Amino acid sequence: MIELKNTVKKFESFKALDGVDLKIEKGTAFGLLGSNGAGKSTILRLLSGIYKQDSGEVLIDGSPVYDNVSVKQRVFFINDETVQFGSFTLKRLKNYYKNYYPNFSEEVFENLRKRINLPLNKKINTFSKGMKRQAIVIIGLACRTDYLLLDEAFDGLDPTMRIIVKKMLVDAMLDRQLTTIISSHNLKEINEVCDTAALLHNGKIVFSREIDSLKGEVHKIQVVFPKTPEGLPVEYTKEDIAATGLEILHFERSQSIYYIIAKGDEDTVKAAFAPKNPLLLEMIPLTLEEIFIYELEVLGYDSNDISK
Amino acid sequence: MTATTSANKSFFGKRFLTDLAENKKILIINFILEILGLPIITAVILTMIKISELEEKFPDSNYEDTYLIIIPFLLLGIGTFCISMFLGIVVSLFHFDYLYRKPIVDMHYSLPLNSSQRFIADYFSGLCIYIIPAIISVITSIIIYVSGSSVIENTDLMKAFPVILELAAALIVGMVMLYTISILSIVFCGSTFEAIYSIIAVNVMIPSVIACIWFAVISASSYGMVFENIVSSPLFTSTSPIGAIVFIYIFMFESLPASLNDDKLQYFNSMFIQWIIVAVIMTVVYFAAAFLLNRFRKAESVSKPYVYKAFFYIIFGASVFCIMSLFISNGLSSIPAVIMCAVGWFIMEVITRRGFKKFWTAPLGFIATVIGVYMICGFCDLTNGFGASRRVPPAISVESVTFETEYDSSVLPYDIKDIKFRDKDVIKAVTALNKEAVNRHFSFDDYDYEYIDPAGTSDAYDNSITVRMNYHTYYGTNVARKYEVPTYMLADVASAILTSDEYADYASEQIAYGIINGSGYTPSPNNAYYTDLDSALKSNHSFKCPIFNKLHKISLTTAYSSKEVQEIRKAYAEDLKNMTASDLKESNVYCYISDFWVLDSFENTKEALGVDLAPIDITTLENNSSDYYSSDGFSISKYPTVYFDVKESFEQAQDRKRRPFSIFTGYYGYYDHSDNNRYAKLDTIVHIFPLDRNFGYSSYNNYDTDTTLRINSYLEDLIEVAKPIVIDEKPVAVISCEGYQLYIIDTPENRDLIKKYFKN
Repeated sequence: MIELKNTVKKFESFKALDGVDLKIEKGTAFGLLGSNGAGKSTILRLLSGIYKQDSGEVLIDGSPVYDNVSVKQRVFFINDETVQFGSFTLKRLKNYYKNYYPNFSEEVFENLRKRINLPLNKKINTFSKGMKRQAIVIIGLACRTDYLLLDEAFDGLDPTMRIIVKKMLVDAMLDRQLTTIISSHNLKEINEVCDTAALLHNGKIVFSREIDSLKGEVHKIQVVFPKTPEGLPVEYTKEDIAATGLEILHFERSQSIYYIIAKGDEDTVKAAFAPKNPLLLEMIPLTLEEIFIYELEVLGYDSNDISK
Repeated sequence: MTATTSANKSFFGKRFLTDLAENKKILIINFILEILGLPIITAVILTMIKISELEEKFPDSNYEDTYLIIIPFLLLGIGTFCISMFLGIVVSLFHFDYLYRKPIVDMHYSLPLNSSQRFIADYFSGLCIYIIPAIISVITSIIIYVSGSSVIENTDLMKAFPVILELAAALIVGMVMLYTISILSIVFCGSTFEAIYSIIAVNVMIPSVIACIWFAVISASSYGMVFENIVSSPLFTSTSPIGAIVFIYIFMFESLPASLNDDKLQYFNSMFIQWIIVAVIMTVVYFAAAFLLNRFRKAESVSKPYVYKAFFYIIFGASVFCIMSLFISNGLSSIPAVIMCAVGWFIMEVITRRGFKKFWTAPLGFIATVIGVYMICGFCDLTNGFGASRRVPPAISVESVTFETEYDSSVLPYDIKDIKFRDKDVIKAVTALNKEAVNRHFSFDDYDYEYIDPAGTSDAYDNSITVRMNYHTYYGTNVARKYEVPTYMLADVASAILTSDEYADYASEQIAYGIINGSGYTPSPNNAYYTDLDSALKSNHSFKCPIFNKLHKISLTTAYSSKEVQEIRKAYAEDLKNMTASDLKESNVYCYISDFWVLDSFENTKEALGVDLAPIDITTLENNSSDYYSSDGFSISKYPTVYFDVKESFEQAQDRKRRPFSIFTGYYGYYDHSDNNRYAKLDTIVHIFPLDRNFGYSSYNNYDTDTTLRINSYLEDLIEVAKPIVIDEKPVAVISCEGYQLYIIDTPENRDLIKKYFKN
């Protein structure tokens, strides 16, 4: 299990992580979401022992990570760079990592390599960006570590390759309870691969929970209320709706139709609106992308505000 | 726990082996360069020694073509050797590139290694790549040297074998130091430009700062101090690769010839041991510093120009110190230096800050550095250079000393500068001279001087001489001092040197050279000039040699066989070794061969020479035709007033209360020669070797122009009592014969004799 306890990481005066508490159970496919500079890559670098936290704890299976060889041996980190292996051939790169990871499987490596048809003896700097990604992913999987950390893992992969790589990851997770942490801006992919996700903003965790339950807890609601005795449309403000006990993430009105994004399960939402006798109450589940946008909007990170 | 430890160990080993495997290209390049370097240089040098041997053996053969073939090989060897040395920087940059290249940081830091394992494995794998080819190259060179030395007949090169091993060890230690300092510099930096720049800066700055501090010390305490002293100090040579190069250079050119000449001075062993101990300690210190700084270094620091900002200020503070201290120590205005340094400082601030963010802090750093420089220089000045110039090594700690007079002097031959005197009397006399010079300078008021005005004395002349002593201590240190002293102060030193065995060996060899080269007479009667005594004496030549009488005029020319020359050499050495200080003072000169005198008391030499010199015929003497400005002919003159310059340093002239006068100037100091100099009259002089003066003296009779030569019996008596060797005695008159002098000591009898000579 991975645990971050009140973890703080600063880069000079900039606080990249500000008291982060996070738990990731073993065997989880965990997605790290967040705005740019939210601290996703910093968490991955802390978990792979590259960075040392300024305060708090970063633990894997109860042991601190930084400078801990036996823990680091069970973690493989794939970052968003593709230039570092330029001078290597795939074979040399394989042999390089094979030295450090005792569970490295030649068989897994060969199977995966053949699946994506990567040349063994060509220098990696002659590969395309996507091929470089594939190369390091198959090496990461062949190392057979307990934890695989991927920073912008699918960046540069074509749609077909994305499917193949995702399948590789899913297979590994199913085969040997691999814990995968994926940081990505591509929420669709997180949605497809991960079962749990956390949203980070300004170095803090906004939420961390299972994606399915997350989706069931945030709803896009279209609601129409009856007119007044004078025949005029009823005018409710965001505060009027919030007074019902719902947490409103987004509030918009067009003519007599209200578009509301609110937190809470279906029954709670229905119960909140019932006293107002809505003529129409339609609840649509949100995509992860919509949850991301609306959650951050609440925190003041919306495209309108930024463009202003 | 055990499993973890063994896993840790195996990961270190894996990292080490992986690094070696990953860098095998540079290993191969280094190996090729090393094999083309030192072994080729060794082979070429041995070939050149062999060719010079053949040239002596078969002088008629032409060896120019052979030289034309081997010289390019020598250049190739030197070139590749230099590049292979430089690879220490390249290897360190390659091995620790993740400290300054952002894209590869994650790859290295995420591997299952802790920072210590990563650093140590990388350090030692790089070291192997750099040093193993060098060790193979050194071993190959030694094999070439050993096998090559067997074909060289004239010189037993195996005598130098221990020194060769020491030089090889010094080379390897110097290389390790270069590699370690380069890594230390990289650990401080987070970008490629700063890493390369810092390696160069640190390598240059360490010796420069030490030299500049030394310069500040000797400027503050200039009396007798010699700047070159620092160059042989372990502080300078053992602390940086540049220092190591200087040490290897000095050691090679001093110790190697000494070992070939069987001159087994403990000084060299101590010097080497001291150097290598300090150098190894310094390398370990640099390694420990790099290791610790790397431990505290964060992965995210990569891409910052300087990971430890203090390092930037140390480098630039050191640069500013070097530039400004040179200005201050030289007594120049430091304002241009401050402006120059300020411009450089701000340019570097702009580069390293990558802009003008918080730029207001830049002047603060610069001002603090400038204040620091002034404080260091001021502290040196305040402490009188930490009292360095007052220190004289105790005679008991000195293993050998060299003593040098500026150019050929009338006291000692210049060439004795190369003799390392181990004679205890010489060492005692030199340290005593040193102490007296120091006392007279620093306790000026304890001594009385009679001052004169040489401008009002027509025949007065300065009787001072610049001397330099180099002490080699048992601890392997070299202490050098340089003073200007009146000749009378050299009486004990000269007596001790001339009665030492080392001088006897030197002078007997010189007298043998004198004979085979016609006593230095031009043109030589032997129509040749020999530079190799041993090979000349192996020939069957007969050597014609003019022998000069006491007046330094040719008395006769005689021929000697090689065997006779060897006998004369042996006899002369024996006589010199038997000579006491009082013999030297009392005896008169029998004859000269070249400029080396044979005393009346040298019975062995006289017998070996086998000549009977005719008495001096006074009728053949030619009257000095001119005056004070001429050294022609023969004249008897009044011995002039002699004095020495009591120089006063500029600072002392400004503050007479502090130290009213100083005496005997040092080499480095700032003197006001116009108003503040005073001249102290001397009573006695030291004059031992003939020196062809290019001017005469005033005539004896009350400085008038009476130079008429009087041929009478008193002249014969005067020539009889006159002697060219005067040691701490006062002459009353001087006989000048074609530029060479004999002195008549001031005694009532001699004064009476002179009066009689002039009256008749």
